[in-house]
Amino acid sequence: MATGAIHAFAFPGTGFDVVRAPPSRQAGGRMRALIRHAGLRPEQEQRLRLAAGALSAHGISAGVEAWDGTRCDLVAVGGEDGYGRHVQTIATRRSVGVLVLGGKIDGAGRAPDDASAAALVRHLLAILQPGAGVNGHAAAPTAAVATAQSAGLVNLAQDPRLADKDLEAQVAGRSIQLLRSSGRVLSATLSDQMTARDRLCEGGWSFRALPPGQAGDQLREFAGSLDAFLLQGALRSAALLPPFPAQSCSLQDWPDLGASPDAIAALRLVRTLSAQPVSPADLARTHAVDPRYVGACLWAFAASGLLRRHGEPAAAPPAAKPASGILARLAAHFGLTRAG
Amino acid sequence: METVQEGTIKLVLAGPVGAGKTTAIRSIADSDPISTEMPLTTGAIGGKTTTTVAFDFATIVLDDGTPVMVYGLPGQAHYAFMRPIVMAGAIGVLVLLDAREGDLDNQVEYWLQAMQEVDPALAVVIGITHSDCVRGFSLAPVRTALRRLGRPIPVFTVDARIRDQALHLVRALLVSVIH
Repeated sequence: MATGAIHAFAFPGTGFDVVRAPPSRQAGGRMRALIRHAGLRPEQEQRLRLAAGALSAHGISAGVEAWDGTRCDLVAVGGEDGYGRHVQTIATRRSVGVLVLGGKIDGAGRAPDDASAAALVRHLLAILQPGAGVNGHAAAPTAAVATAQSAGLVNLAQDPRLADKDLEAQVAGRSIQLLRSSGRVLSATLSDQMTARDRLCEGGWSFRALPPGQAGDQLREFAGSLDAFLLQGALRSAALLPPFPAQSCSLQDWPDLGASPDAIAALRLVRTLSAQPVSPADLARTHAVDPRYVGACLWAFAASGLLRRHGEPAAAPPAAKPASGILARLAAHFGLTRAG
Repeated sequence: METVQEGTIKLVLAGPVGAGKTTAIRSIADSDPISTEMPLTTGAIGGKTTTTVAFDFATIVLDDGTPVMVYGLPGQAHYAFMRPIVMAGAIGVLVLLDAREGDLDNQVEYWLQAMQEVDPALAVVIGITHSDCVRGFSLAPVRTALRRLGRPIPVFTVDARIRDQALHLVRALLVSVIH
């Protein structure tokens, strides 16, 4: 698309009609954008602000202000609001990008106006970043890694292009940030995080490394433990995961599992992995745990960047001795073992 | 494996003022804690208007009727003399730290050293509360501090009000003791 040209088009079924305008300005290597709004309902404005904040992950520092007739890079207007349509006319005449939320504008299809903040991000990007497709990140500063078939969790654990990086990840139209540097997962909505968690063992993911300083900048409405997020996702669909490679592994740090209180056996596995390198098979045998459960834990710990893999085979750890006496009763009370 | 004298099980919660020790005890215990709460002389800290001046005490009763005694140490440094008294015979310590206070690496070092001075062999787990209140919260400084200290101990971010999360800290402590 030629810079400076104005093009109107609709996103079928997404709720938005878009008039694309010249790209926003560059400042200090990071794009800055001023987004104004007119004729939006409060909840539409709220989602717009969330989406504008999330643009930071794409290298755009966006501010949001009400339309006052002065300069801006993009105007978001309510398609069913008379004032919004009036502002759209003015903005189009001035070659300013326009995002129309809902309504039926200039013959375009009526669009629902309940699109998520993540969907808004894509449409804002389509206007502000020439060359960036609605479903891609062509103008992103770092290359994206897409997973067609393999599980997102496996890619996180194995793809060397993703190793030890803070990432923005997208699946099923949802966007989350996986911050290994801080051990946190961030998203604009809780729903985004839950959907992503439930799809960790499926394909269809795309990942993009976040440049330093952009991690967690704006997309932070919901923050949680990255380790717990990955483990919960892995355990929910453990049967979909391939067996973990038969190499000895260990942990230098305990994963942050406070938000995974159901993963009780994982605590015993972590304890052993923290003490010495051990193979997945030995780990399952030592603790009498289903190998698929062990595999899910190891995939999750590897994806969080905590798991160390060792080339040398490790000696099998001694079989876990059952607790006795008071400790056995204590362990049973807290669900760690059955009382002997 | 640790040996614990039959008939005496003691669990201790430690950490600075406002980290959520009394709240955690309330979450995990079977009875309401007997607390020695007094109004803060410095005025309210956040929404907190009282603090523990001696210790909190509550019990958890096992299936066979054996009581587990749960103690919460006061957070103020001038009550440090109570630590060896309360911690004597404990199976381990849950150290709760408040993410809002920042400086978590130094807090970890301080509290681990304080616990080690009382009993170097004592099992310890760390729970970090209020992490959701801190923009840009990171576990990295805590993990770096623990590596520096050479102690791979469990560190969980938890909401002390949620029973399951508080109990998971206890489970992590027991795993450290038993296995």
